[in-house]
Amino acid sequence: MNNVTKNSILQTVEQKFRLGEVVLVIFEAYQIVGVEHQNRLLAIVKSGNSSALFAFNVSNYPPVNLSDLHIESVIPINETFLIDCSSGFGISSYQFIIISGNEQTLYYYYPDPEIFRSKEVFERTLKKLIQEYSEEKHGDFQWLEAYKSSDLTDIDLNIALNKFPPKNRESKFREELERRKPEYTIHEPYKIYCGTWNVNLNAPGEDLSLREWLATTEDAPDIYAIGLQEIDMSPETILRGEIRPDYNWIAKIMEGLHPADQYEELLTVRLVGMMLTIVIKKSLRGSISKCCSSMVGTGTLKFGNKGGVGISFQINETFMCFVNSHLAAHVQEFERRNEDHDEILRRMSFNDGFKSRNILEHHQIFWIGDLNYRLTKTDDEGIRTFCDYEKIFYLDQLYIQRVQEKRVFRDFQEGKINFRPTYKYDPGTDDWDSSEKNRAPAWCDRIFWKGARIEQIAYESVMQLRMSDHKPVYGVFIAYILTRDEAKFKKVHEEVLKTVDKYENDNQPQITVAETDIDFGMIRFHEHYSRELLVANNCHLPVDFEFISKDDSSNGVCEDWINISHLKGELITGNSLSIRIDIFIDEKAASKIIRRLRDSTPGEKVPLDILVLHVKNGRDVFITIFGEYQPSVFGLRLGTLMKLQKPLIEYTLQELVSIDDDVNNTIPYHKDAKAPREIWLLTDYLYRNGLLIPHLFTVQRKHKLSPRICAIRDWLDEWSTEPFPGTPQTAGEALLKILEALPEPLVTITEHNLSIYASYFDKCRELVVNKMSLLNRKIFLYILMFLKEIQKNYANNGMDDRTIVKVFSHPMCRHQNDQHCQRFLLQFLANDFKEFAKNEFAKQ
Amino acid sequence: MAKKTYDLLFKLLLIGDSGVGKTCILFRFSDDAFTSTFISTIGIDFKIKTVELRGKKIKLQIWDTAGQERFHTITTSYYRGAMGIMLVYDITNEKSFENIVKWLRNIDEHANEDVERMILGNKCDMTDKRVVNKERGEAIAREYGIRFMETSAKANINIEKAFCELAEAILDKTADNDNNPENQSIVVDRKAQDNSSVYKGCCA
Repeated sequence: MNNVTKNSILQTVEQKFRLGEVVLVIFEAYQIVGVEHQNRLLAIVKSGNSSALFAFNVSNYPPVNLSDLHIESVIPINETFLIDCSSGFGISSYQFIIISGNEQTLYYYYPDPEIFRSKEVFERTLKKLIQEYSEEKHGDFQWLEAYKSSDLTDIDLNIALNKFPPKNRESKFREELERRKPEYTIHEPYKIYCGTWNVNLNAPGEDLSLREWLATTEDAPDIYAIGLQEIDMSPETILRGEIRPDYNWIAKIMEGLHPADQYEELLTVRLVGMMLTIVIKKSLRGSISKCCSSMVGTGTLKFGNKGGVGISFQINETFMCFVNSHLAAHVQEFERRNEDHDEILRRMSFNDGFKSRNILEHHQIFWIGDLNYRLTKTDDEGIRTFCDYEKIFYLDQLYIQRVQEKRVFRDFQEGKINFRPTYKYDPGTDDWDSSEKNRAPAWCDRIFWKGARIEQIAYESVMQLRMSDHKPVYGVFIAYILTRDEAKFKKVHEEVLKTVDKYENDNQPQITVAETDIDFGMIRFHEHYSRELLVANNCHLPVDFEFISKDDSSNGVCEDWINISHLKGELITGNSLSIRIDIFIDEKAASKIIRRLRDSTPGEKVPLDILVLHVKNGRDVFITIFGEYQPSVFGLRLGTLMKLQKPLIEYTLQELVSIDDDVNNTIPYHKDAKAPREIWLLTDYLYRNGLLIPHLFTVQRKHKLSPRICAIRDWLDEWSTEPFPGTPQTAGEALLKILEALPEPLVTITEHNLSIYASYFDKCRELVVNKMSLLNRKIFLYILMFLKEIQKNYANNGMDDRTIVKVFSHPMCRHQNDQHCQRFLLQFLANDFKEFAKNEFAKQ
Repeated sequence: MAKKTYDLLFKLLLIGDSGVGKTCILFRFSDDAFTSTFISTIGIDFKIKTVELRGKKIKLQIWDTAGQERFHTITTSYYRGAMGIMLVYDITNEKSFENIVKWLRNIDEHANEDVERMILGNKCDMTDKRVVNKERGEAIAREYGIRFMETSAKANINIEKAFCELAEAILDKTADNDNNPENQSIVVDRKAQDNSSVYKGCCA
């Protein structure tokens, strides 16, 4: 960001906030989401006595309009806020971590190492605010509500655009509980005692008492963290990388605790010479969870003669970590000590079985041990006799590395040292090393801490314990630990459940449908009808819709004469879609729609079908398709056609159904007719105009969708006296369609029978007589006689037997396997059946 | 470690004639609100609400169905999987009461055999327009051996109680299915509840 852009971005960001809310710093970073790098704009905003870090998702860079910025996270800068900027650790040296509360850990990355200066400003500002908060110990975060609750009602663009799924119920629940933590938590003071001692390979003797070290405070500490170094450095121990705790020392520690309370060992971790034991008041057992340990060996071959051991646990709502380390020795080796420090920080990882966290991912950290940093002016005899520690403290390598160079223990604190250097003494005395090596005194043994709400109340060494060449050191702290108030928690918990219920109810994707009733008006055979169904996504979530089956038994989502342009689809917020619904009543559908509407009352708007529009994870909408149907000759039974006394158009659908249903033949046929009027008209027209026409019928049925079919339909239905409106080809097609539209096929002989007998003409004739009704038989023979006429004119029309049977077999028989039916029809074309037909026609 | 926000999930269904107030009952229960504008439900809606019964958090997923006649065959396909069904009629609408028998038959045909049922006579605040007296509601409930309550979504009468009682009945059944001797006392409890219309539930 150059300054010009930065200023204009700042102005845009400022517009997001209200009067009195000051944007202190903006900082560009990114996050890795999956494999994608996503821009994040971080803003530190202060209002009154509290401040917060806002993370914006930038949809358009550089952001110019308010809508380019979407609040992704709002993190109050309070006691749970942690930022770890220690570059050089983590998976990327550009990574930094923001921790808020117990669950939320956000990983951000600096976009560019070049922006060092703005990074400095960013970090410095945050740290200052953290400091301010921890000093005031109070902040009113009410102003954040306006931004935080926004995700309940406002559109979250990432979710709306289907980039991220909405939060699930569980994570929303956790988030809400976390957000309302201040309402049900209080800070309770705990007394923490940290002790470190390099015991110089001594085993604890019978007469050794640690009371002088461990029981020096007035009140009993709540938690002890005792770190020992050099409990055993034998070659075997080193080679084995000993990790079994030394129970002699643990027993000695337990004996030496403050007598005013009951204690129990929580956990001990050992690596070779280093051992860390955490002891807690028995009454605290229930408050501690997720306890686990970790160890890091450093130095030559990483055997663990140097390194660190650590223990992590959660106490109430606070994550605590204790580290005991023994760093590289020798005056000149401070850089190796620095490296050991780095390595422990990088490699130490605590896994509670669900989650791993490193040292810095804790709210309160205590780092103790023989850190081995020396005083630089080793030749100055004066050091041995000084009494003003402050004067020589600037010679301390650790002071130089930590405070001046900012090389190690950054962000850690140490109390003021008011005790003699703890190294090196002649064992058994308080005298400085008198051996040949004549080691210079040094403050090797130290205690550091990091985290908010920690007060040190003592930092001392113990001169009376003289067994080792080191003196033990201890630090006593009052640490304020976030603790749940159970009664308040229960109340908040209940309220949060309600919020979560509401969240879940509000986060149902919903589709908006312009109309749930779609009226197609009057529908006629073989005509196309279309209606638009406008659906929109006006909710703040992506909508995944699908038309589903009405019940489990049928698979189709609608009647097969209805076609839906989009059976399923996705709509992102704000988008709409016009779904086209088509109705086309073809020959197959004609009888079905008549059946479907049989119980309707004439003139009444009837539901033709109901579509179920299902939204994934949401509600279903029923869309009713209304319409009326104008029946036609297509789709009626042969019997019905034979019984018509007036133009079909003059019958109501219900009347036609009742004639259709007249199985007992109470209504008389036109007895003298061989075939229904319509079939007769079509064949007669074809006989007179079509026999000589080449390719009158084609297997491909070229005229299947011809609009003339509708004209022919009207001509037939109206008993029109006008000239025939079609062509021979379309008349042929209409004839086929009448056959196809019959509720039952014309030829009622089974596929099985045809498969056996279709090669024998005699048998075929028998089947016709035995298996087909007289009416069907007559019509069948009537049509076949017409086909014979076509066959006769082969020379002119080019219609061979094969083509003729291929065209007619399926419309007549509707068998799965058309082959037998074709052979059956071929028998009639190949043989003379004039006499047979004459006989049948004569039957009444 | 995602801890579930509930211990049990019950699916409930609201059925009954169009306009008896199914959606209002659900709205009152889930949002504690009432709207008098009538918008016919064209489809299937659902809402969730978590209640606490006997120390258990029960997430109720309540399905609201379209009451219009033409949707009846479609809505029956949603019966399956429901653990409890509320049959709602309107005390100011005789026909809706008469149709309860039809709805009960629908349940027999389409719902799980062990579904818990409850009849609600809604709009009980509209005393001046009442055409179905409470005794008739109780009589039909007795005849079919199911629970009955008069409710008002508008005046917030018995809404929460009805859902909790239905949920509790399902909870009893769930408990019955475990052969845990601890649950025996609950069985007794349930019988006691069947015999009296006194509400013993504990919806907080």
